[in-house]
Amino acid sequence: MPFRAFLIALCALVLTACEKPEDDTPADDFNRAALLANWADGVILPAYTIWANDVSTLHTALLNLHPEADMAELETAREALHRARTSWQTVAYFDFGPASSQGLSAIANIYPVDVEQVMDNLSASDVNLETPANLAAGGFEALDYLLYGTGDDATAVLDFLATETGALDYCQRIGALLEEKANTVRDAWDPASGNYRSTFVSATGTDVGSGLGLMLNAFNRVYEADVRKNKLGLPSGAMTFSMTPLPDHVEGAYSQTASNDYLLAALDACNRIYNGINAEGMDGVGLDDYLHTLGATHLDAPLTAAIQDQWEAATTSVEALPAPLATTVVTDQQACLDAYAELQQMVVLYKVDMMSCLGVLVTYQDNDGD
Amino acid sequence: MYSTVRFAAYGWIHEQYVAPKLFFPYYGWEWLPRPSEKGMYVLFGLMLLGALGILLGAFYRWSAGLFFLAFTYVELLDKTNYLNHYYFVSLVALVMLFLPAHRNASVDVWRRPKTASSRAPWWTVHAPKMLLTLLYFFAGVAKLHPEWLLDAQPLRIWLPQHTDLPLIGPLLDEVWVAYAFSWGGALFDLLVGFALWSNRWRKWAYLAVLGFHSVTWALFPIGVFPLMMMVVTLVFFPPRMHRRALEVLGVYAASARTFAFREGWGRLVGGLGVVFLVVQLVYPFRYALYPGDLFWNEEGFRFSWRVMLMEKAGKAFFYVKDARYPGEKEVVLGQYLTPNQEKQMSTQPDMLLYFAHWIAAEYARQGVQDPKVRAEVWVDLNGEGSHLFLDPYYNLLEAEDGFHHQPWIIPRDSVITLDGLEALRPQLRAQHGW
Repeated sequence: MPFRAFLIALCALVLTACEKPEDDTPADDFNRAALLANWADGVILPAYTIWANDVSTLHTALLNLHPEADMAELETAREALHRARTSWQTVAYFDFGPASSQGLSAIANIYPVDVEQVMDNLSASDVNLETPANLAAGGFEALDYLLYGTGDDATAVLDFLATETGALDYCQRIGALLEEKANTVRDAWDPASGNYRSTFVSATGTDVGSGLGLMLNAFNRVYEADVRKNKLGLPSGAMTFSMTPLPDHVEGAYSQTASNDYLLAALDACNRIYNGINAEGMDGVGLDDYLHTLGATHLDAPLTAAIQDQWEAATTSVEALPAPLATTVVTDQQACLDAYAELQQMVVLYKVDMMSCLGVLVTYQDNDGD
Repeated sequence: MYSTVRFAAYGWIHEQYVAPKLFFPYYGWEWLPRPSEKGMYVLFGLMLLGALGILLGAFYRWSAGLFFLAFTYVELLDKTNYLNHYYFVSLVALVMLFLPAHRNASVDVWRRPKTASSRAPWWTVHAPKMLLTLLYFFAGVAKLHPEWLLDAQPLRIWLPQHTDLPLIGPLLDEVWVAYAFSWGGALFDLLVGFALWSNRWRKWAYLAVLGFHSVTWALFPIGVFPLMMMVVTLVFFPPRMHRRALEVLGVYAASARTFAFREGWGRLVGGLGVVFLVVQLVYPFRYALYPGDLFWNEEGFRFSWRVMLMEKAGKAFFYVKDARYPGEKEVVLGQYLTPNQEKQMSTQPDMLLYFAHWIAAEYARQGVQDPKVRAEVWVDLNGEGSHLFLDPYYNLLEAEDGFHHQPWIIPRDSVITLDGLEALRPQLRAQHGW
């Protein structure tokens, strides 16, 4: 029967073809659960704990402000704001699960601030800071405005806080909401209370709802939009036709000095998350290990090397931008646009090369691979 | 039926057909009006009604026509959602419109017992089988590709993602398993469509169908396709088995009548059938008329039973220029596209081109003067690493969609890397007067 002969011939062909092709990528078992556990226990939970503490310190410092507050007390509050906003840069990447259901990133860090709305809110007695209209009138940037932008110098700011009805109270309400949210989200992750940690770690698949899917989709979105675009792209004018720099769009537009640091902190955080570096600085299981195990390549070189090199190039070019960023976007716009291009290259490596190798899905929809 | 309900239950009607700001129409179908939200739900309702009518054999021709039109209409609205199995459903629905599938065990026969038949022209029985054979065979031919057979790509990327599956999981990151799956899959697709015809091999072929589709169902996010194929391939079993099943269900109407088309009508249907078959045989090969790499360019890729053949990912950055300014604005894609649309668009030249034209019109409406649009697109195919997909300073508004080759696609073997573009940038900008 010719059909059988055909079948036998094909089988023979398969067998010969299968004779050990060159095995250049040793496929060790990679344990995704270990990656998720390292993220949860080494990166995410510590980051939330640190941030919740910083936010609590901030709230206390704001409560300590009073109409007769002196320069030192104002300085304490400003210092606390800076610390909380710096540790926020790590937490910002975990925009899924509890953080997402609490709307954390919209409540904590929308900028530029809507100054008019803030001024309206000062005198109102019952302002709900969680309504869409108030998101741009709350969070860190509103505090930045109130603690820096309400006067030409510290004395003027103290004067404003002492005399403007409701100003101190509004600062404290923002502090209270931030603390409440920070504690809620930290507790939701905490194995001793909400234990979202266990949900996260046990979803070891690669679909949208898996630990890896949630983490990476949030990571890519936050990196592309909140870090690349908001922290550098918008202020440097890349998003407008005239390409006019928008210095008032920097993060911390009133304190000014820290915008560069926030961007660098965000870049540092993305490197630590990617490499699985825990709060003590130990390099645990990370995406680099996963990609290495998979033998991921980028045009014949290891993908991990391409990512690390590009991250360093991006960091170097951002470090080279003089502070304050709000000035640099005007005085040396080209340097800012060049640094922005470096940040953009990271988007490609993360979102295209890395995601393609990891096979993490972006949507729930069916696909047939084309 | 099941698929329609599943689609609605997952909220996909809203997500795919109501939420998006724009649709990506197929070339030649841009005129198709987009239904309102209510219209969309009505359309799905009609689709469900048609499916129910076919299932029950009630008002069969109307039901089959209704289902075919509603289903195809929805599919034609946005090519973001193109899936080979949806195309297959459309084709089967079209063919079924001409089959006397309501002449037994149906509401129509219950209404008019005289129309009951137990026999039908040979081709009406074989037409669905031929379609299935075509589907499998072409899917197999598509797999006879160096990357599939010699590199075991993309399975080498996909399989290791499932090491957490019970039983076979630990094996899936072995390279030889990827090869075995690649070759096994190709063999299965090439042979099964024919083996199902043979009385001798049918049993084994059907077991293979069950096995193959169970595996793909467990490994890949391909929705109802595996289930559909397991059920649909039952048509290969001989008529007496179907009859017995209907008798057990108590719906079989014993009749000695042979269904026959009216004179002339039968010949017309037969002629149409031959044309349809020829088109189906030839159309998947149209890719051969295009230069360059099929997987990269995707010219002549759709409607050709290329299923789960490649791992392709991309990221597009669009830039628009207003004639009044020297600079350019980067478009925030998330403002206009759903995540799925952005994902699909980023690797498909015709969709990128469509969006360029759409965004230009949108900005022109907002008062931008003489917009020009360019795109920097990075694509990674089968894990080789991302490189540049389109000529990054070509004004995409100068190109028109169509069946011709688009020369602004950078060939797959002209690799331009991220750093490579930075080096070329001044030259390209000058060359295109950007």
